[in-house]
Amino acid sequence: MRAVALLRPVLTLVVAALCLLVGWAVLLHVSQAADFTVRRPQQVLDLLVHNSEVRNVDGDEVHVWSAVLPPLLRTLYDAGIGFAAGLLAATAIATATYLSKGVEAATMPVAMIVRTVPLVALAPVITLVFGNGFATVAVMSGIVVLFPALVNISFGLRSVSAQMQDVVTVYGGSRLDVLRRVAYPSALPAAFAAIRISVPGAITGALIAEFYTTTDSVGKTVNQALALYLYDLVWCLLVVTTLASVLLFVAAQLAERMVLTAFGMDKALS
Amino acid sequence: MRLSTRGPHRRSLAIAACVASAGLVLAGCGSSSDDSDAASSDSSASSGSADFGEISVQFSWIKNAEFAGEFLADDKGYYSDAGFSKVNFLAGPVAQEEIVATGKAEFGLSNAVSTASAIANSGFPLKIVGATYQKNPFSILSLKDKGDIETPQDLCGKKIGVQDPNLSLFKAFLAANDVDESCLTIVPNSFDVSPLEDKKIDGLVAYLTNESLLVKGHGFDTVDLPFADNNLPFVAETVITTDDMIAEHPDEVEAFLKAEVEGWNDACDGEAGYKAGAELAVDTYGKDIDPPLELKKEVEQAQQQCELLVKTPETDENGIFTMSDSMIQDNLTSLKAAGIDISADDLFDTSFIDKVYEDDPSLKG
Repeated sequence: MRAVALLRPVLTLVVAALCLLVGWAVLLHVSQAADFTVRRPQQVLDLLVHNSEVRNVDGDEVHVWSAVLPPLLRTLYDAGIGFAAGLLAATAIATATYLSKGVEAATMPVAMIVRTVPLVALAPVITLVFGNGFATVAVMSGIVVLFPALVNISFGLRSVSAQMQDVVTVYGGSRLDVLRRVAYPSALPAAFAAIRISVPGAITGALIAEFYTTTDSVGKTVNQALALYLYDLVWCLLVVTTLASVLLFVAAQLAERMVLTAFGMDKALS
Repeated sequence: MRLSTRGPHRRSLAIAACVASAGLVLAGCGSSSDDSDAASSDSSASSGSADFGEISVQFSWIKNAEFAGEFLADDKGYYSDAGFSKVNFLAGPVAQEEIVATGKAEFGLSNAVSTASAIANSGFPLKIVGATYQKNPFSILSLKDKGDIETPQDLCGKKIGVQDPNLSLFKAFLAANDVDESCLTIVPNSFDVSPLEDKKIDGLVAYLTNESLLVKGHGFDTVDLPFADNNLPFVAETVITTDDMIAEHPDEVEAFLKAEVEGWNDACDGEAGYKAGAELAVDTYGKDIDPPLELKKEVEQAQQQCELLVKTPETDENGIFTMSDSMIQDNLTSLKAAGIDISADDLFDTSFIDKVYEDDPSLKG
């Protein structure tokens, strides 16, 4: 049972990779894009596997991984900051809304508005307020994470049955006790669902934020490389970023399985 | 809890993630090339009676006075005299090299650095066949009472706004002038001048003929540090076309260049020329631009570009749009500073513009 449960994420990975490769090849075929602007899966794979030389944004010939890895790590770091910030904020707000209906009435409309305005449109405003640095990345990437996490976690917290609450209350527990002993554990599956959605979201948010900062990141490098027509570099960056995103999604799925199994909630897993 | 229904839910999520990532990957590839073969169907006849059909020209910027010569060539019928039934002007800024190389436009206006990048880095089949601007108009624009950047050395300790597409160019400028990059702060900036006017940054990578005049027009005392006069000369608003076009339709290339020369000769023909070009930009070709173009600034731009960039002692001798050997060598040196290694023959083809003047020496004016 456990082995099967852990196998599932691996299957996700394989299916996602296949999906990507086929979609990539088919779309190139259908769109008939010019050969010198696009790279086929085989070409990018060749570059990455053999660590071939590509030109970087400074005009030097370097091994592809040494051109791709530093910006990728930076972007993952940026996404990590946004992910943590967004998730913490979502948990805090969800808890507050659980404890007080007033907070829910006050925060939900704002969250909706922030979520409805496209991030790209919001970005210049955020940059104006928070500057061209770290804070902007955290806020932008965080916004992407915040909303789905907030909705999911709030739902999870409220999924506690009346009987469960009564048990805690009958034994003299306060509302806080209900939260700690019943609501948080019941919210775990929903929280993990939120985490899985948030991982790729955080990376997207980080990429957009990076257009407005100076760091050596994927968002920045892609922008520069496009201006210099460094298509090898652009495609390699896109592929490794996508792969990293899929891998992190799978890692989140694995973590979910292990934690839920440990909490005896593995019935929640299919 | 309705958690038992999460199986299919997860699967749909996986598919969504998959589609989303595929979209991400493909976002960079652009759409298909809608060939405009009709444009270059018939080039058998020599100029005069030729019929080259409809063509498109990709501009490097919005339709302002920067393209005064093109507007005049269209308005005065030089394009139609040359055999083009219609010339579509496509506004920038975009990746002009990509548009031209993929056949979405027959000709494009770009600059030597950008085109050389496309050729050297990704093997684009393109050539520069003529140069509107003999010198590039890039400069570091600053305010007298804030950045006051008069020499490359003044850059140290300053906050400079640089647009992502110009970042490598800016770094080449620093390298060509022995300025250590770490002594200054680079801030990402769009082409918007307000951060400079609000004094949030000390300097901005700008066009001598555009942003510089714009800021001056808003009443600021400005300082320019032109790249061209500080060890980074290269040609700009260069006419690019594909190797295919050069091989298959040489008449069409020559006819287009001739119309360009005629248009720009008019555009640079003293006050009347500047005014005519600027008015066409404001009232006709660029009338939909928001915020609207200001006639005073456009006239100034039309004049400045002619006096500083289009006409030089060399073009007085050889005619506008020409590219001398020594100028080409200077360009290659600048490109090298920008990290681009390319030979003259791989980037320039001067035969067409030379032929234009050979066939009609009166165009030298």
